[in-house]
Formats: sequence, structure tokens, C-alpha cells
Amino acid sequence: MAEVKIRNVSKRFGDTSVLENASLTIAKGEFVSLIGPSGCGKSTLLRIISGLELQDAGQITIADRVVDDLRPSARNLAMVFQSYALYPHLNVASNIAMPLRMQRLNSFQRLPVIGRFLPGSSAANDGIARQVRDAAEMLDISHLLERKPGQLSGGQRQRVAVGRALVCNPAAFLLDEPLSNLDAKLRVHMRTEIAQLHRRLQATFIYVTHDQVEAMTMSDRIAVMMDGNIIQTGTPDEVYDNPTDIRVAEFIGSPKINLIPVDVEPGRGVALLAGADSGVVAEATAVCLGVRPEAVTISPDNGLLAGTVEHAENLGSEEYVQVRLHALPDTLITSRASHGTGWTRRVGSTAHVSFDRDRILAFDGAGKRVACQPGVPHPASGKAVAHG
Amino acid sequence: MKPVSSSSSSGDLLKHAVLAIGAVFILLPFAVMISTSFKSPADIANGALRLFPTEYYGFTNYAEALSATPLLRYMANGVVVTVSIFALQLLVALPCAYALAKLKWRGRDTVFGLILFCLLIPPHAVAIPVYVLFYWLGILDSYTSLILPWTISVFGIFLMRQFFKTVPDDLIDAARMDGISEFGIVWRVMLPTALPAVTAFGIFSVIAHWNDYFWPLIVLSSEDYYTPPLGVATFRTAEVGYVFGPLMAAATIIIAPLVLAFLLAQRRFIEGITFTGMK
Repeated sequence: MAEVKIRNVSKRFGDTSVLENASLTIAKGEFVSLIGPSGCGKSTLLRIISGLELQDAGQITIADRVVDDLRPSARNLAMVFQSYALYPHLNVASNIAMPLRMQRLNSFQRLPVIGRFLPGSSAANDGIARQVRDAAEMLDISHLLERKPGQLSGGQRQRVAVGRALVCNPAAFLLDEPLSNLDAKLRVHMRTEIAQLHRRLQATFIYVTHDQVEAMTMSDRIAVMMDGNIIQTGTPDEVYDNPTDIRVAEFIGSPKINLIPVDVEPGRGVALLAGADSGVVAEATAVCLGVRPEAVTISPDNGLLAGTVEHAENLGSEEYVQVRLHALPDTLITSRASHGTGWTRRVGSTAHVSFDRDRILAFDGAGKRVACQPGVPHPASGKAVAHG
Repeated sequence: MKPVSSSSSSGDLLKHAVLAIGAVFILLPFAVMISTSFKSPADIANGALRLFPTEYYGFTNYAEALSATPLLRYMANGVVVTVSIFALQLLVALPCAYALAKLKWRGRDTVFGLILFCLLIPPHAVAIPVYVLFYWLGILDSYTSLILPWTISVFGIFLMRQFFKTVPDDLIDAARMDGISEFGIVWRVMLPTALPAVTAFGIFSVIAHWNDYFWPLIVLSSEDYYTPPLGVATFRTAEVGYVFGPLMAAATIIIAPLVLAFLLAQRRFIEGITFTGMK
């Protein structure tokens, strides 16, 4: 368990820059997710922390010790890989024991057959066997210790990989998309298990994923990465409710956030959507408003903007309704309607949308977040009041 | 689902017929060899095409084969030479293949190209220069001269490199995280993973060098180091003249270990070939 500090790390592969000046501090015992689309540099950053890849510039500190010159195994980290990366020729017990054998036995003691009889090796082997049993018990794989990886299911292999990581009591766990090879049901289950494991071990976890649900559900903090930069770090709530960048707003949240082009009235700063008063006052540089689907209210007869219901999905617990605005034909608004509202039967009909004014976000031309708050309703337009 | 039609079953019949003819064509010389090794001189001289001998002469022929020349000594030589060659080939090929398949370094592709180019050089073309070199080194007529030229197998490097390419990078990274050194990865991770390919390569290598007649004939002068094929050759020119019975018995004896080895390794061998063929 240790603090991991990433300071101004940069990395290039040939002409392409994969990481630019990335900095992040992960506190002792914290669960931090690195999330971003593929190619954003999140896996590279994890590999740099692990020492499997060397950075071109910057510094990695683990437990106040600079580790830039240390080999991966000397950094006291453990990694769980997407493909599990178990040794196919060794059984589960030997797989889990491997890091301990490498740490505790010298190269003669590791020799097959003869190694067992060298001084000190039997005591060390007993210790290793005990720790392997403990780890297996903790992960509920004790009955699999004699099997080869080829005889295990995906979820069992995943547990073995986790077991190999936790047996050596590392300073931090690095997990590289560990759930993406599992089927959807098992993924949800393993998500819970990993979160519980984190709570039990109180260890530092660095978790790379492209799945925002995994990041949101498991993390203490999320670091959103885009194009080689960490563009926002914060708790799941902060990142969801207060994205500092339009790319964060778009990446986090499903269904995606609605983005609507906006004109800001000079002087008073009222944000106008296709001429209608949105009820918020935004900075003059704002070019677009973002509204989460659950902050969109949809009604058959009155609202801020009219449109046509283009598609509706019934998920049982709720409905996603997509409305194409009459005044802004390029904009499709997704609303999260509650269960049983029956929008699926009303595809093609007219609907009116309005927005929860407290939850409207504004972004400028460069995609940066700008100030925006509910304003005094325009006296000439009563529409904003209707659903205020 | 396609119903099994009569045309497909007659097609199967044709396939099997062609395969059977091929098998007979290849196995016939072996059958003749084995049947001749059990025949009496009169039976052989008779010239009639007969699979089974009219009188059993096997014991005499095999006893003659083993006593007329030190055949067992030649076979022991063969074992020493082929096993040493294969072991050294692995010692060279596995680290090379690992470096070519999994490590990143400047000029890797060029080096691999050069290695492929070496596949094009027939060993006979360099036989004379190597012979002269060994003459200068003073190691002609020894086990060393039989083994040394074959320790670097370009084919072995190529075959293992292709197999190693299919091993996931994550496995190697996991080994590095566990603290296994690069050489350790070659022997403790890559070798066990690539066992089918190693077996396939082993069969190629052992057969080629067990049966090699050309190179031992060039470098050896004393019979002490003779390998089985050379041994059989001395047999034929021994003062007794052409005695086919014992000659064929000797040939059967030297081929037997190969056949046994192949049968034992057959499953892995075919696995190795198909696996490497996948990528």
C-alpha cells in the first residue's frame, strides 16, 4: 500500500505522441480509474508506472521513492492483464506462486527436483505454499489449485490472475482492462468482487478501462484521459455533474449528454436556443449547452422546444426517447423518461422538450466549460417558467 | 446441413484411393527392405517378387549385420551427434527467435531478412570452405567436426520465431512483472509454451542429421566416429561383397530408432505443424 505519483510524464512512439505531460497523484489506498477512448494513452501510462515501458520525460514515485531506474519486478507492483496472462504450462498453484518463488528463492533453489533439497528452500517453499493457499481461499479458487489455466473458465482465470497479483502484497495493484474479456453478466459480478477486494485489502488500485460504467461504479476517483492528456480528475459525481471539458461530458454518461448549439444574447447573457429563452445566463463565449438525458423533460403538449419523436427504447425500468427538434433539425435530444410513459407507441408524433435549468452546462468554442446559471425568466417568454 | 450424397462418398473413395496408392508407393521400399532382411541369399538371388521369405533367415542376417561391422558403435555415434546438434540448435535458436519475435531493437527486420536469406544457401555450397576452415583449426575427424557446422539452424530460428509471434505479449510482461529475467523468459516461459513446435523441429533436425551421409563422409577418416549411414556404406563394400540380407538388416536396425521416435512424438509433431501454420 503506497502513494503513487506521476509527474509530467511524456512518451512518444516514433512520431506520435501518446502522453503529454501527464501528472496525477494517487493516494494511499485509493482506487483510481484511468478512463478514455482507445488510443488515449491510458494503457501506456499504466505500463510506464509498472516499468514495462520507459517514459521519455517525467518521473514516477512510489511510496516516496523514485522508481524510474528500477526494473518492473523491483517496483513492488502487481499487474492484472486483460488476457489474464497465466502461464499455460503451470497449474493454478504454480501460477500464483511464481512471483513469490522469484522473490524468495535463488536461481539454484528454483531448479526442478534438486532445488527442493538445497538449504533454506524447504522452509521458503512451505511459506510460499501457505500464502498461495490463503490467496486461493480468499478468492474462492482453492478447489482449482491443481488445474491448468486451459481447464478454467474466463472468470476463474480472472481470479487466478488476481490471486497472482495479491499474493505478493504489492505497493499498488495495476489492472489493465481486466474485465473486458468476460461476458456481460460475469463482468457485473467481478466488478463487485474487485470493489470488495479493494475495500478488504485497503490497497492502492490503479484501474485502466474504457468502460465508463466500470469507472463510475468502482472508483474513488476517475482520471479522464484524451489524446495523451489527463483532462479531468475527480470523484465519479464530480466528473459526471461538473465536467470541465466537453469531451469529458460526452465520454462519461450513457446515454450520451445532449449538446445543443446556443446563441448568447449580448449584454444580458441570456442563452437562446433557436431563439427561445433557455432560462439560463451563460458567458458570452458559450457556443453550446450540454444537458444530461435525465435533465430533459419531455411532454406531449408543452415545453421549451418542439420536435418529432424519432425513436424510443423501452428498457423496462425506463425509456430513452429521441426527439428531433423542429427549429434545430441537426439536433437529436435524448430524454430519459420514467417507466410506463409509453413513448414507444408515439414514435412520429410531436413532443415538447424542456430542461432542468440547474443542470445545464455551457461550453465554449474550444470545448472548455464556461459559467452558466439559471437566470431570471425573460418576461416576454413564459415558456421557461412552465417547466422551471 | 448438406445431406450426404452419393457423389461425395464416391469423392471420398477417390481421395482414399489416391492416398492409398501414395502410401503404397512410399512404403513399398520399406517393405522390401524388411522382407529382404529376413530372406536367405538364395531367396534374394532368385529375383522373384515375393513379400514373405520361403525360408526364415532373419537371425543369420541380423547377427551378421551386428557382427560384421560395429553397428552399435555407429548408432551410439549417431545418438551423440544428433542429440548434441539438436541441443545446441535449441540453445542458439530459442534466444534468437525470442529476440526476433518479441524484443524491439533497431535493425530487427533487416536481421530477420538476412536470416531468411540464409535459408537459401545450400549446405553443400559452403561445405568446402567449412572443410578448409576445420582443417586449419585441426578439428577434422572428430565429433566436433560433425556437430559444429549444424549448431546454428536457420530453419529452427525461423520456425521458433513464427511460433513465438503467436505467444501473447501480456504473458511476457507478466513474467517480467514476476521478476523473471529475459533469458529466464526464454527457458521458463517460451520453451514450455512452444513445446509442440520444439518437438516438430526436433524431428526434422534428428532425422536430417541421423540420415546425413554427405557431411560425415567428407570430414571423417577414422571409422571410430562413423555415423549409421556411413556404417551401412562400409558394410556394402566389405570384403564379403554384396550381401543384401545383412545389408538390409543393418538398414532396418538404423531406421528403427527414427520410426520409434516419430511414433512417440507424432501427436505433438502434427500439433506443432498445424499450430505454426495458423498464423
